Amino acid sequence: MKIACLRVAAITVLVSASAGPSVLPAAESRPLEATVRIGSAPPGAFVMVSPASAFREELALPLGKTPLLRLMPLAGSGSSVRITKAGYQAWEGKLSLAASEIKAELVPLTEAQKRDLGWFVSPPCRRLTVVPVRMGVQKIGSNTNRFAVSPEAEAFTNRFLTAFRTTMSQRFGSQAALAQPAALVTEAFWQRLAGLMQGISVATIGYTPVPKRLEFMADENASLAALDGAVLLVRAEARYVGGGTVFVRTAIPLLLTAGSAAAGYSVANATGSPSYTYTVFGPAPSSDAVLVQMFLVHSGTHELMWFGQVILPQYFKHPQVTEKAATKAAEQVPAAFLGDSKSGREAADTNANAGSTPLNH
Amino acid sequence: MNKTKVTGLNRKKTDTKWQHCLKRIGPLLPLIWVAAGCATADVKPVYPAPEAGAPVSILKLDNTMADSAWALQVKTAIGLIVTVDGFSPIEKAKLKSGQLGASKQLLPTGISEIRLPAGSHTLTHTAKVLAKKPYHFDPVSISFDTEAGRTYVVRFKNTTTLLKLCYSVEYEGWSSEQTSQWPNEVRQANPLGR
Repeated sequence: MKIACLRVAAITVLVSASAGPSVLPAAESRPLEATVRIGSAPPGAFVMVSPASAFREELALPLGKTPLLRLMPLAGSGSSVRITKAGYQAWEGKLSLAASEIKAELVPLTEAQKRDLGWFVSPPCRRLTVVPVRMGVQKIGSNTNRFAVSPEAEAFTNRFLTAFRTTMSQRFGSQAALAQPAALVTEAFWQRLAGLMQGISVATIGYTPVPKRLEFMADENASLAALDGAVLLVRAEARYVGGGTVFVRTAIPLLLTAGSAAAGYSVANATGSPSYTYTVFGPAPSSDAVLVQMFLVHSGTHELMWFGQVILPQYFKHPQVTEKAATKAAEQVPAAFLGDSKSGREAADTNANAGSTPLNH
Repeated sequence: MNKTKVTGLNRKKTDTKWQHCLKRIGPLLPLIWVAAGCATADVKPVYPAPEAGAPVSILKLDNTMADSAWALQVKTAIGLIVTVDGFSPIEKAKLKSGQLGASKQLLPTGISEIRLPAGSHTLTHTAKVLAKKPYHFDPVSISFDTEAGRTYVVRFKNTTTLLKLCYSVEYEGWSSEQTSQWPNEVRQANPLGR
């Protein structure tokens, strides 16, 4: 009898291993995976998917640009989809297990819609002005958690700007310039810019039906207008963790690990268990990094044409940020702006032909 | 009264019940092993071939990590699980199980090449500590665009040290703007965090 039971058990193992979870009754209530194909005419539109039956942007996830192919879970009730492209009406539809393929015909905005929505077209830019809005060093996790602009950050700022200007000059020649208008390098302007970005989904920049316009104060508008062309607002911050914080971040996990091991050992002793388990806590990752954000704004229309962000992990010799880190960041960042990892004249030639530079927007 | 029961098999009087059971189930073990190793319940379907004439780009997944718990290496064996746009990058038959009784879902060691239609894609990777089940890696997703005719490389390396289980990821072919947004190191999550 025992032998028979064992054989039945073995056969059961074989059956469940080959059949998989698809035979389970609970599978019907769970989302099922389906191959989703989304295309649009014209192509290159931006797709967002919201799990709710009605599209909600705050819950939506960017899926990519059309045409796209995904294997993704779809609930029985379906998901809502929004497809957007500059100059076209937003297209909304549904994805479900029964209809997992979308071919959206995008309709251009009518003249009345353009007027109502405040549609505008920015004129071409012939100049690029780099404005260092916020530069400096920030020590994280200390009592003096302030943003240091000078004199501690002077070495970093100077070296970053020098290297940044050199790289941009190699690409744009005399078309690029560095300027520091008084109204645009204040903390108030930075706070306003950061506030304006809070309501903007970065992924959709350039793909919304109507261009995104940033509203500034009168004196800031005047400063922007005086620059003529495209304005690249740059934020570069070096962040490093203080020595005390590094010690705490290392010591606490070690203490927790030791405590866990001690607790496990004592429990095992008390219960007479031959073995015990404990948890190993890893140290927190280092936070040292150079954060660079760039906002490309049209000086006349205030259109937000492009946004880029680079986080470069760096290790600094505390408490001073090394000049080497600043140089490295400044040399890598323009590559992100140019849309190619190539540098110098080669990138300039390529982009002039391909039109991939945000300036050609 | 000393009662001894003798069955048809060569059971010795000194055998324990477990030894006896093992003798009974022994012939079935290879079958169970094969069946369990072939289980592909969690495996996604392979990436569909691009349509003929459609512009394609090449994505190379360079896996330098282990695909077997018995791999000859100094570091703890970590197996890699990758999906591209939700699909498995290679056929089920080429995937590895890594250890006894596990389903085949690990990317084999070496370079796996995928032909992707030019456009936007999402790559998700996670890893499995072979033979140490309590440890797990949280999946990481990266979204990127590919251009027709270009080749992109994602390289996975086991960078485990004495204190931490981790693997690193290197990217080739993308701009630094994109790669700076993606993690270049993935660490093992704390088992208590689940």
